[in-house]
Amino acid sequence: MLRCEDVQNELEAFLRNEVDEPQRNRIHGHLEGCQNCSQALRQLTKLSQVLQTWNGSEPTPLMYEKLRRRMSSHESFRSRALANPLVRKVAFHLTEVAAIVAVTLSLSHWLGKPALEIQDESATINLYLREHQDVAARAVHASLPAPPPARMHVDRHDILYYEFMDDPYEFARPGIIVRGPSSQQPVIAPEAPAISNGHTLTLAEARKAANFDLVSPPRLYPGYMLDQIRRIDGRDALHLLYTDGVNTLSLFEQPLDGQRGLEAQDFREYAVYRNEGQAGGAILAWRDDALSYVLIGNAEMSQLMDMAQSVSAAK
Amino acid sequence: MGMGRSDEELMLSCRDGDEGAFEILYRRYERPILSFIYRMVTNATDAEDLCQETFLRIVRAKKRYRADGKFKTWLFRIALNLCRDRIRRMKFRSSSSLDVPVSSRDCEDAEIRQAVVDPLPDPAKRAETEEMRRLVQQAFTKLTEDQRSVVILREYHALKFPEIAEIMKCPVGTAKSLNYRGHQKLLEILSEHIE
Repeated sequence: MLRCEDVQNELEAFLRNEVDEPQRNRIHGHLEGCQNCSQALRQLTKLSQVLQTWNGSEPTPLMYEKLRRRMSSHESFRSRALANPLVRKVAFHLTEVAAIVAVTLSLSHWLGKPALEIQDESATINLYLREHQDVAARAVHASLPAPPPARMHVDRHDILYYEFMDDPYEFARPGIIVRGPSSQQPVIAPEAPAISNGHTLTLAEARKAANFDLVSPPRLYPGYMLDQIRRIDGRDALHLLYTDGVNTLSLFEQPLDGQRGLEAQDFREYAVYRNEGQAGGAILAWRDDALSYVLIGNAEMSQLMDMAQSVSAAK
Repeated sequence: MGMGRSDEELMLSCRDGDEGAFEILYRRYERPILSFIYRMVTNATDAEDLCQETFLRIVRAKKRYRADGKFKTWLFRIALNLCRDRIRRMKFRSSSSLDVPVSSRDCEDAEIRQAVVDPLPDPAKRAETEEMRRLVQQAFTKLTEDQRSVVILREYHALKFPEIAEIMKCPVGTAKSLNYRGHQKLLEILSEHIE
């Protein structure tokens, strides 16, 4: 015997013929003797009709052509960039760094434990993403039909933040951020300017507040413009927000000898990256001789690598 | 040519360098994806851009494509993620809100497009339909983002709950529950037009 609540929960599926035959018969039987549920069915039918007044948007005739142009410009940018030996070299080094985005299962298992339980001070990281291998192969003009995964050794103290992106394979890639060499200097609470996350800085203010040579390219490929700069409270770090008008990318910069570096939660304070348990994007972290950088965005890793090249070139 | 091939077959060809296969897929899904995004972000210009971005992501990810899932759910999932990102950004920047009725510019934009797809000869009837469209659009803004996603996928794209669950990355039961609550809320908001 079906209750009204059960029937009404299934009415929408019932309307679309998505309930199996026995259940359909039971609902039919219930509707014949229940005015409330019959009324609910009529309302739902009418609602469906009313909702159909909201038509969708029609594609403009040139949409496909625009898409083709965007596809071509992406390809030509990559080709031009990789034709430059210096860029290839940089790309190769970046690839080495990008290798750390792929972590073995043992590492993820190991990271899942509370820090105090961790005995091993290091972990082996495998470079297994095909995309990274391809980039590396192109950079060195090498053909690597079935390359063994490249590996690098990481001290656990270097790992600041690790997260497995939970999107399906189109975006699936683990992300990892490594911190710069740990500072032996005592931690001192930052003095003024005590600029909170809510305040944006002008470029001049940011340079003054940074106490390091801020690298702030005004534009990152493809079409991301510098939109806002914020200081991270209590850290020697700046957050640069780029936008292309739709998507946003976050670039975090901090000096390697900074007194207080970024903490994992610093990357979570922005809706641009993660919100309500929903993952979105990729993380690329790298260092040069003075700064460490973290680039986070809803973009392909190869795109982030292109952007990282722009940042390196802007220095 | 190729029109009878499944989405997954076309995507595999696309992965192997067949540009024609990609165009067929694009033509097959351009309209539904554009409409889905438009109903999510309620801005025609943004919808067009995000629609292009959705297909760009398909192209960029093609080398990693494996036909172990439905192409359609993959495509909608990418579109949904882009919409969520866009909506978050709108909230983040407080420059615009989905809770606010669409701007006059968007209304004009929408009207132009509606006129293309829904030419009604009777001006009075057209005005009535247009008013109802506006009310429906506003009613959707009162739903949570997840409710809105599910109801749009059900009502306008006739997707089944397992497909929606795959797109939303949630259990089928959650998708059903979101759909039920979304419909109940719409019934409540639009009650005087339903009786």
